[in-house]
Amino acid sequence: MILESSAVALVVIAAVVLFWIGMLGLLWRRSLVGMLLGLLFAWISVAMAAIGFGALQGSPESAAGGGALVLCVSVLFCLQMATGLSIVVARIRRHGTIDADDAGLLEG
Amino acid sequence: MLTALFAGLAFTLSSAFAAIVLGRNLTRSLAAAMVFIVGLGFSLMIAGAGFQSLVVVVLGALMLATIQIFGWMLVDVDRDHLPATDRPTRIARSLAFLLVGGGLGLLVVNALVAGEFAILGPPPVVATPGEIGALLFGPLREVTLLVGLAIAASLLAILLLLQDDGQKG
Repeated sequence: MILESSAVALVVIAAVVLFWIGMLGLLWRRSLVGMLLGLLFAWISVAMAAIGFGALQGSPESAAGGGALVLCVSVLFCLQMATGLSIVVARIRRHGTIDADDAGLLEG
Repeated sequence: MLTALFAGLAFTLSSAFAAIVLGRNLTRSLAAAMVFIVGLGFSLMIAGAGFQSLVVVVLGALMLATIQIFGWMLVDVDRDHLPATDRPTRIARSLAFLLVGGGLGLLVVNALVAGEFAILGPPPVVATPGEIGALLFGPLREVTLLVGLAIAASLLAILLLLQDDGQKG
């Protein structure tokens, strides 16, 4: 399948802006659930950038490499999200809050 | 096609921004994030980005649904119930956010300059699922093995984190 280069460039630039929005969620939101939402956007931006850069190289090998990177990053992100939600559940059980500022000491 | 793609991406990014800034209400935030996922699928479909985009959209929707279920279980969805952030923390977060934005802005400017060469280069291609599978189970089989080990380690960590859950209260 052939992509237009300008369309790929648009997708890559959108990935950068989406990563910035994800960082906004990580830096601005104090609820751990909200921070996980920011992480979701950051992960999707990385996947979009991998698709775009893999396609921009123009060779089938680089496109397959980009696709493999997307799959590996996707699996690792699912694991990260599952572990993060488990930490949120454990934290609520022990401390009764999801305020990220209260978790600054990294105490159990 | 480019105009539709540009409009779709603008809509998608606006929804993502709304999902972040509507933070006082989890339900509104999650609804905006769902709209973001739909817009993302639409935009990537217009761009012809292949089956990897389908994987990203399906897994993104799945993760969002998981956040939604856990969020509704754990959080008062109407507001965060968190006290206001103190002034030095607000200033430090603003500075960090501006630094990240400035760095990404420089990245976009450089990408635009380099993009002129990319448009003159070979036509971009998208890999088929078979090519990606052959790569993952061929030259990259060590990476696949590491991902499998990561899956096992994460499942063990989750079990340890939740081992006492449900026994109290």
